Amino acid sequence: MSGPIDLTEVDFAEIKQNLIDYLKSTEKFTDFDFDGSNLSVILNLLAYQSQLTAYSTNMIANESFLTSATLRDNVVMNARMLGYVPTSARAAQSMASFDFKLDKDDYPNGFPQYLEIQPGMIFSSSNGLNNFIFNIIDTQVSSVSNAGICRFDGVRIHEGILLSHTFVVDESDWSQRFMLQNEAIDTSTIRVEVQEDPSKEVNHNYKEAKNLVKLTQESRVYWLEEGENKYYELTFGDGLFGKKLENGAKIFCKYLITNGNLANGIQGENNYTFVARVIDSYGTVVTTRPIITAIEPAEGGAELEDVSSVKFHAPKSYAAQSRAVTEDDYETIIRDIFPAVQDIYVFGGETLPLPEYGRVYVVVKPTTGDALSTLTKHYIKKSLDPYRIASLDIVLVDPEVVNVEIISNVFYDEKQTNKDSAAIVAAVKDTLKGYGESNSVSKFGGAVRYSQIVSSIDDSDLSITRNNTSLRMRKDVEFLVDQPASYEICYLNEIKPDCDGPVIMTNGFKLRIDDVIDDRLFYFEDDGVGNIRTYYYNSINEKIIHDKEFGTINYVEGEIKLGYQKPITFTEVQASDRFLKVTAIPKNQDIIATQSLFINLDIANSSIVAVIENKVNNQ
Amino acid sequence: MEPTQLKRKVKQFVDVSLAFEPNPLNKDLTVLKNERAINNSLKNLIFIAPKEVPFTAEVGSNTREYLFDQIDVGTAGLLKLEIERTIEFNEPRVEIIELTVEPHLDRNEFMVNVVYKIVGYDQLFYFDQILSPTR
Repeated sequence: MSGPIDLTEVDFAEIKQNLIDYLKSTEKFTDFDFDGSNLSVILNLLAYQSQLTAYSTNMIANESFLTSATLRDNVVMNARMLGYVPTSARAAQSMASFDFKLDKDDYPNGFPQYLEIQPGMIFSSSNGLNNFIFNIIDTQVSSVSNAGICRFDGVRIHEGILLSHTFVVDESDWSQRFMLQNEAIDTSTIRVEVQEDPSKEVNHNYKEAKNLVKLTQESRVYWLEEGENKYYELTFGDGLFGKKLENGAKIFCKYLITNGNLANGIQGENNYTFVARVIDSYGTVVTTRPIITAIEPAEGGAELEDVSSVKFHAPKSYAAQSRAVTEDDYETIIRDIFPAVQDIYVFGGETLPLPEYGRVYVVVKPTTGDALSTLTKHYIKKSLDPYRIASLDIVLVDPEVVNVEIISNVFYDEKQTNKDSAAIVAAVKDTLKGYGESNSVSKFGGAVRYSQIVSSIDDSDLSITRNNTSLRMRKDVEFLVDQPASYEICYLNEIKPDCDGPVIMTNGFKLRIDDVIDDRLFYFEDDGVGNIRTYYYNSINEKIIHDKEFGTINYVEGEIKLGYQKPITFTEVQASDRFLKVTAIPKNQDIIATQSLFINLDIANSSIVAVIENKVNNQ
Repeated sequence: MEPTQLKRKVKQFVDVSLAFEPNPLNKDLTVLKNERAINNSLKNLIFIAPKEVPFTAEVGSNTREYLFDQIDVGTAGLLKLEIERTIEFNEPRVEIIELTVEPHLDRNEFMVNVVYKIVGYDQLFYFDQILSPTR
């Protein structure tokens, strides 16, 4: 008895088998089992066609939903339905200050009133691997003093190349689109001017609109969306919301294309060369080169938001509804404002031991470095203003970065491998590096699990038989040079008190004691009962305890306090290091990142030694 | 009690004709039966190139490659081996009794003759096919 043919499979063999099952039930034909038969030819054809249709249907269904789509264009189109625009690449930014000292001989009729720098290249720079151009997006003008000095202070510079593109509105082209055909564009640098009347050479600035709120039919706005092939598209008003462009109107777009995160971290005035064309108020080109007085380290460069990030953030952005209310809202909005972020932790001031109501604390760990510059913090705080709840104060604080060092003796059976001890160490470090970069460690709320470290080491190479491993926590304290201050060093993990010896170790440092710089190299340690004491080594290398009340330690809270009784003045640290490195032995095997603590598994400073195993089981 | 009737079930091979012409009597689809079905299967197997059948690369023969070689006894020998392999590998119903491939140099073609038995039956069947290169 023949039944319906089941054609819902997506596998060729299964579809063919279903067709065969159907033919079997009809008992009319028998040759379907033989590859050479005509029936087999027909069955192959039918099965192949069904499989193609099933596959296409499956893919179309997948690509129709945000969660299952895989092609970027489809993910972006689905995200667009939630009102989400993927974050474009972001140019590394910095803030530069420079002075022009004009020569009197060049201006016999008196100094000009001002100097002007047009948008475009301003500095060339290099990080040793690549060369970069830094630009200004908007015209910079500064007045010249009577002494001929013109100071440009805090000029925001962006890495990349400034491009421009002009569109002409053509109403006869019903499908006209205004696409900026470059995928490396930084959309925050887009400047749009429109010559609305083709017969009048007057340009108007247009601003980006995020929604329809407060828009009228005269609002000069444009919307930005990602279109196909990672290109961004401009759309203009329809005459109801936003001004409608007339036929023949000219749209002048200026934007920056960038190298993303490659230029992050360039610092030092010597790495920048001034290349801008400067014009004075008389309209002549200034040949004097300026003196660069200050340039912040470049930061904030990021790549175009990838597919997985769009899929993750689009629903959250929709949930935030362009309002920073919950902690997740802050995270989503900050990532949109400043994409070069590794992780964000947000908490309300009311959760502090001494509650601070009406404050939201935002801890941002950037992708490069441990903390954001003051400039970037200010930029983020200002950019959060349109989203925040009125009267709520936003405070951006630096993460407490704790470096975890691994001390490990790795035993390996030399008969099981042709690697030497250095290669074994390299393999172990490589594995641990992967573990350190994994999502379970390098984030707020992450943890370094002792058992995972130990098993990762064992799994690094087949010849490794066992390992003896311990963990240490290290904080790099940036001290104030030659200024009296008190310091609090928090590990937010319990420290193991030990009566037999100290559990706190530091690198050497020098102090100013009683207003005199002491030339001895000091260290500090704990005494096992809650005090921090300094010591030094004398000429015959004996350890001499110097100050028994240098500070205090709370083992349970994992907290060291220095200079709370009497402020301390550090003058320098050993080996021209920038930081005072304070190492502590944790009480628990696992190190957990709670609150604003961010764990960095420091493989470079870990001590891993490979030892040949002499107790190998012969079996 | 009625006597039990014993009926010998004869196995039939029934295939459909790709000509798709209606049977003149009952207007049904034309079917090929037994040796006609098998002959048609042998022809198909020789003509199908490997990988032509989706996801089943091993079905078919490489006879096409030999047709553009020199038409001589050597190529005919290779062609014979290939056809023999194809039938033995892909057609389990056939037991080859004799297989010859003759080169017809003047007509630029090979003549394939197969004498075979259907497995389980004693009767001999004949299949012949002209293979000529076409572009």
